[in-house]
Amino acid sequence: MDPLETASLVHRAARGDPAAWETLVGAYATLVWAVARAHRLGTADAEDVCQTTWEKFARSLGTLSDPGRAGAWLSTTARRESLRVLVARNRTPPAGDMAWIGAAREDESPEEIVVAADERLHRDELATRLWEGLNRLGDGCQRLLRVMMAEPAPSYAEAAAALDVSIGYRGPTRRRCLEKLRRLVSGNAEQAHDR
Amino acid sequence: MTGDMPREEETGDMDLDAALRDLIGRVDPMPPRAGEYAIAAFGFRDAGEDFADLEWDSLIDDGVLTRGPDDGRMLVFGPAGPGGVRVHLGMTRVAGGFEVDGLVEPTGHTEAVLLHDGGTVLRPIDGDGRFDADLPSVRSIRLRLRGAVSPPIVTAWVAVG
Repeated sequence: MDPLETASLVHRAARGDPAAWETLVGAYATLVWAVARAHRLGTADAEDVCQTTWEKFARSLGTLSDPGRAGAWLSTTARRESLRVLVARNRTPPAGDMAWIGAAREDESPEEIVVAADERLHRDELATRLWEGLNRLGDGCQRLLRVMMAEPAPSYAEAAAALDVSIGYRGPTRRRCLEKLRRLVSGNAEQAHDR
Repeated sequence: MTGDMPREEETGDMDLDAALRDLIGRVDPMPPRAGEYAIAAFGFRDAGEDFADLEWDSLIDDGVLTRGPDDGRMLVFGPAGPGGVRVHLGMTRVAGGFEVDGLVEPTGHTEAVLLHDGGTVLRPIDGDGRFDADLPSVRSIRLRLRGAVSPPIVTAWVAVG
């Protein structure tokens, strides 16, 4: 969303316009959700992060220093809340800035997630290959791609805030991750043809 | 054709983007409840209470990310309201739950309501601004402070266990 439009919506929402608030929610709700999921929070914890993030945003409407960057504000807040939940649940993040995604979800085992996704993707060969490739990517690429796949797509600034990286980092890393994924998908396809 | 046409590699990225976005939309859609929370949060804009955000958390802000929550944990909320109220909360995990010790500065509030995902606990705040409580094993807590000195103060929710 254009920063000027975002700023206008924030100002209107701060004055009590519920339609402006709903437009902001429509623009950024899936991004907040994606940030929580990119940190591999389970459904209940991810919902907690969403709830806390949106409450803080509502209470901050009148005091945001840069209303045009509300999306980045939401991304940053969701990332911090996700980190806090992970630590509180005793899922200690590793030291690497992009490497601490190894926590398990509290309400679904990785196997259950894979099985559930497999069922949803039944008979869709491309999606199945993509899903398998995605699960074989490194943690950093998984996290970046999960955030980038929010709908509507986040801006560079919003994605950078969600990942706690510089804006310039995102583009090259995204391309590298997509290239890895493309190779994995191609490899999966060749394996499938060999069967 | 113009020079603005994307190269083959970029075209491939765009296709992969679309396929990935479709995939994520199918395997990990945002639950409707998360959207409902977001819409409902608008009501907090003018809830008639001062908000005390989490200012410091020993689990994170100590810079010791390897420490687990079984150690004592200190939380500081605030400053909130015109008086700049801060709430210091110590939480110690014990068998069956948490021991909580709180300090409110400046003094003046008389009751602390500890809200958690399983209910609420009401505790008096003494003249020195101190209170304590025993909590069951809960996932998240927040505090609401009452008294005659100002509008109620409510803290952010914090995941604790």
